[in-house]
Amino acid sequence: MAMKWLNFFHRKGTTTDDTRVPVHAGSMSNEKTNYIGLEQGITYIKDSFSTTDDLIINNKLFHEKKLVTIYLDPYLDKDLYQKAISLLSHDNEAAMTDQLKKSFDVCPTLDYAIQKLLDGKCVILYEGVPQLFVVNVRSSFHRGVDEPINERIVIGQHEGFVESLKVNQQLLRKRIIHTDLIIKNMTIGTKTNTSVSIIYVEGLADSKVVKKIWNELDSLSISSVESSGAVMQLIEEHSFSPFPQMLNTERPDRAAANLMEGRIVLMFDGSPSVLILPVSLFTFFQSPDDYNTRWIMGSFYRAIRLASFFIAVTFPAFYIAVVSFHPEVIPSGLILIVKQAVDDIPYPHIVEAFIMEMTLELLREASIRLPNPIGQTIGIVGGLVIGDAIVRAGLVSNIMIIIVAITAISSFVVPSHEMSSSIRLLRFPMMFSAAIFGFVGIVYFYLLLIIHLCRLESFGTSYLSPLVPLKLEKLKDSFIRFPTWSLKNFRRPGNKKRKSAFKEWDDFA
Amino acid sequence: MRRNRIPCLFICIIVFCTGCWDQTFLKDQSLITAIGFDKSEENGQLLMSVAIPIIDKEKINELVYSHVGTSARNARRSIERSTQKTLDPSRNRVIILSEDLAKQDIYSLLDKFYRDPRSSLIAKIAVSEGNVNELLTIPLTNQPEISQFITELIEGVERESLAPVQNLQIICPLMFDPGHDFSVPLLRPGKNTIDSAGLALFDGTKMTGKLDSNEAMVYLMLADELGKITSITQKVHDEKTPDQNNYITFRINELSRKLHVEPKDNGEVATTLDLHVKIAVSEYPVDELQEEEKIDELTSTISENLTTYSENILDKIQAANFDGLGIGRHVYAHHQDFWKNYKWKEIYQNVQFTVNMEVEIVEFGIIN
Amino acid sequence: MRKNQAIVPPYQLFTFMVVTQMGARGLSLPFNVFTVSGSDGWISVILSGLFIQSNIFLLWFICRKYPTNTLFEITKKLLGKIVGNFLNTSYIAFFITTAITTLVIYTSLLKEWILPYTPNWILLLLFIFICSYLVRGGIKSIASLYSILFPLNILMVIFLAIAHKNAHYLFVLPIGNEGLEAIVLGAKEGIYAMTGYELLIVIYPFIQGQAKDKLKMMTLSNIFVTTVYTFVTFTSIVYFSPQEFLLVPEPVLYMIKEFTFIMIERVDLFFLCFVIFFVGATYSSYLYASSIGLASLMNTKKIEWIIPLVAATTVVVGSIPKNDQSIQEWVKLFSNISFLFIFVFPVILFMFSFFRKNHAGG
Repeated sequence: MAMKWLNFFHRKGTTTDDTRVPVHAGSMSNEKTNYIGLEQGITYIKDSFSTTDDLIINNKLFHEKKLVTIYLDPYLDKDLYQKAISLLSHDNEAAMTDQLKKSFDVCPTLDYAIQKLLDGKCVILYEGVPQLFVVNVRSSFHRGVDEPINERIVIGQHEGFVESLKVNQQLLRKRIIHTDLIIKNMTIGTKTNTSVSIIYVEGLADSKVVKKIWNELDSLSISSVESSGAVMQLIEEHSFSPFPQMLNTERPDRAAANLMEGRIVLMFDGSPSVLILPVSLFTFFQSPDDYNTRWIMGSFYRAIRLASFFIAVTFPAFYIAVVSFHPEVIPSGLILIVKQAVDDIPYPHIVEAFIMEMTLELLREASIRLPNPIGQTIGIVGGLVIGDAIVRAGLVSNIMIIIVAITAISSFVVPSHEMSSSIRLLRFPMMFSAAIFGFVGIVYFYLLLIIHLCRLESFGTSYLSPLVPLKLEKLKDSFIRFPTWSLKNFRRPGNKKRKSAFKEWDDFA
Repeated sequence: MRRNRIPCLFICIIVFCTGCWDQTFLKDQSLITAIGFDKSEENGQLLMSVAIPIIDKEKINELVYSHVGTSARNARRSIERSTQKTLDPSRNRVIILSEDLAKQDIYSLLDKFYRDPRSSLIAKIAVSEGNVNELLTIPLTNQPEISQFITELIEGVERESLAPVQNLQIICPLMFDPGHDFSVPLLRPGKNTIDSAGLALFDGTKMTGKLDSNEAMVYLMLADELGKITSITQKVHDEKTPDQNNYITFRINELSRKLHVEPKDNGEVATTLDLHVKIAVSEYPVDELQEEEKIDELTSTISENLTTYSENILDKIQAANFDGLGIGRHVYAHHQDFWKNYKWKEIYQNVQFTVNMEVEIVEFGIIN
Repeated sequence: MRKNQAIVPPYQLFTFMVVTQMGARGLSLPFNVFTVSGSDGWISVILSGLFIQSNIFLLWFICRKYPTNTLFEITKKLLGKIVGNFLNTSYIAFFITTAITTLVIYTSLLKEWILPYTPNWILLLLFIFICSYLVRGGIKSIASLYSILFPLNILMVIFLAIAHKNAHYLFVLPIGNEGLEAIVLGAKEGIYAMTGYELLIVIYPFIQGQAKDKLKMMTLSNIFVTTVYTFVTFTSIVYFSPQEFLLVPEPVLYMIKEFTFIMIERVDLFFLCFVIFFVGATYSSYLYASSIGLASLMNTKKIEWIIPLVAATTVVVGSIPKNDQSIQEWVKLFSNISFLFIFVFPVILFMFSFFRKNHAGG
């Protein structure tokens, strides 16, 4: 009989003793098929791509020798292609060969050429020249760097990551203009060959964590990488935990700020959201807004967000516990109002709560799927019409509606979508335990939750840091946000005081 | 890995399949908001009356159910049978005892409230001069909830220094303390209303005396337990016409009381009460407060009046064997030997009170 | 066996001790002390704090000599394998019994105050499930959790401070009325409620920092606990009259039952909920201590097997007492034998370590 059941929430981390030094790697460079002649090259490439129709093989004659250009049609930028070909228009063959060698990159092997083809390059073969050449003809396009719709802020930068890795890297580079910003690239996915960048600031990030991440990613053997979210689930250590162990964001300013706090950013080509790790619980409650407004406002809203965590998890459970176990905690002035509301509910309050919570989740899901204008209508129909009708019909008490509404609002306050979903999910077990044991059930569940949080680690960092282990300096930026000058990374070196803004006036005094 | 999950599943099944043992739905309960105890006229048993709010769509009415039983618990069971729903004592706001019951041991009635973890300890206690069942069923004008009316009445009485602040828990330490006694408000049923009729004084757990409202106020002053507002009216002149001019009404702004307890060898206890009262005149039609002499005269009259009045009241509470000032506690705390030699309640009659009243007028209102 | 690693920051030693010492027994501490030393109970509590301080010195002296060993290794080193193992076994039994006592008090508390009809076993089963989950995380998780629970403690003290609005301060007078003997005897009750500090000898090697810092933390925690318990006892004494006090076995809860706020009534229910956290902490500490003891005794690494086993044992034994009377008797018996383990055995160990020092030549 195995006694390992208590490890239920902890998937054993795939700890590898691999101490390989990270290498820049295209994973296919091991096999080598050398280019021998024109016909062999074309056949090899053709065979590699089997029957795809978008592989275009263009035959041209230059000085009575065949010049073959091979490219993938969807990538082709006509202008670039024309420009490349026009470079080759020379009078004699020798000059052209020179030009070919001068302007274009030489491919060592055919497999390398295939990889380049997949990357949007055009392969050029010239009869009689024993080398392959590649030239970039890839058309580039991406949507504008607009503010992401799921992470809006009021004051601050309104740029967002897009689906292009290069653009995203640029967005970070231009925010941290320093040689210490390190971008390491690798590809994962045996079929999709997705580029991944591990980005960190040298000297701030923990090199052990960087190495760990590198190994973790390197050891992944998956054929395809659809998005950052998919990889996140593969590399997180505790997959049975309800809490996200990486922060998923589409905001470059948020990513840059986290880089400066020593965290690591994982960026995936084709995915507008980047992963930030290691994180603590409090990271999910920080928003760039906190730092862009004055500290009193920032602290206030930070505190509200943290309070919203407790409200969203506890409130329905608290209501259930009170009306079905401990009505004596309701003060005298309120008791008759509550009693009047719940008197005609025909079933236990957990059912009532469940109906309302499920309705709410349905509404939420429906309004996301529907196009924008209809989505709003759903909100109104759901909120007002169903809410009103369900109370009139006597299926749910009006107090329950208030509770559910407050809970819903507070669960959407959390600035991270992942965390907000976790919170919404957590309140269901909380409701059940409250329905069985009342307050004791709530306490039991909270105890379990806190213990779980204490045991949880995100890549070697305590999930409750800086609360546990206590770091007073960092605690200034967790529950509330202390004034910017008191935070460590803003402190001026030595004892220098702030320079007066009105220095000339001082001279008069 | 898979085997880890079996115990978790097991626990989930246990939890969900069993049941909710302690569930007591608010909707399935009848809340008790007031409880009254009478001595049944037929067989001398206990007659318990409870007020239960009945909630309609629009308004709330309180119905009063009553039943006879041998004990409070027993009577409640009988009532429960006639109301279909479970009675929930946790919302109870006031307990009213009839005078003849209060003169017996009241702890035997209240024990159930102290013992039950669900009961509400903040309920007020009051003694009714008349029949409690009748008091609870008085048709009040403009107030359908009798419990609320009585609670507010008692709270008002406490605020206006007609009774000390009390609830079930506050009187409990005093009920058991041999050196300190408690008092509760006295209610008198009227035609369409309920009046406060002063204080019921308890010796231990038995009611032994009464004070009327005016006496109660001065008693609270002596006990240093005044409420927020204390407004006293006194006759200070005899000759003025019309008669209203003979009276002064003042508020007590500030009171400092010093209590000296000095037991003597012969079993007597000399108790000195030094009171310094700062008052504010709120009604004095004579309007002669600009001259210092007149003020002095007035102060001395008031202080003399208060002193004589206090002495009368002290006699009265001593006659009731009611140690509301906690003299016994002082003796216990500071004169342990004396305390051990005597049985306090037997020598309480021997306490010699001396009252030194000092009155100072500090406010005249906005005219002199 | 795994090397004992210092992985817990020193400040968590403070919170560990405070949270372990505060628990269900604290709720009836004023009553237990009052029944013996009357209105001088608060002096007894201070006295027990002083005694515990001396006891802490004793334990610390032993630990300082063997900074990388737990109790179970120290005994073997000092007394030889056979006697050491015998002592270890009795210590493990003591820790398990303490855990059981905690559970017994806990269930009777829940039954009387919140859940009269819910069967004990289900509450206990879930409770030990949660606690074992904690203990399996090792000393680091345990210490982390306690450092989070610590602020709740202060909140509870603030709750209690409200009781002073209805206090009769004359109830504490005359001071010293019950005589010295009663006060000293009362201190015994106080010591029993404040046990938990003896776990120092078990967790010592896991704490980071110098020996001096650890002593400082222990002293601070003892001062904190003693102050809080003195305050609690004092508050109870001035709140209840002496005659009423004897009727109220859980004075702390009874006191706050009367408090009312604008939004909530019956604060005692919330207070009791907070207490559950602390009971869980006390239980987990002893579960941890007994589990690593058993692991060391059986010379096995598989502590994750032992924890649920020990926990299951505590539940089975803990569900035996059925009525209030047998619980009282159990607790009384236990508090008497606990003195042996918190004081007598450490003194023996201390003397042996003194002797050994000369023998081994440092």
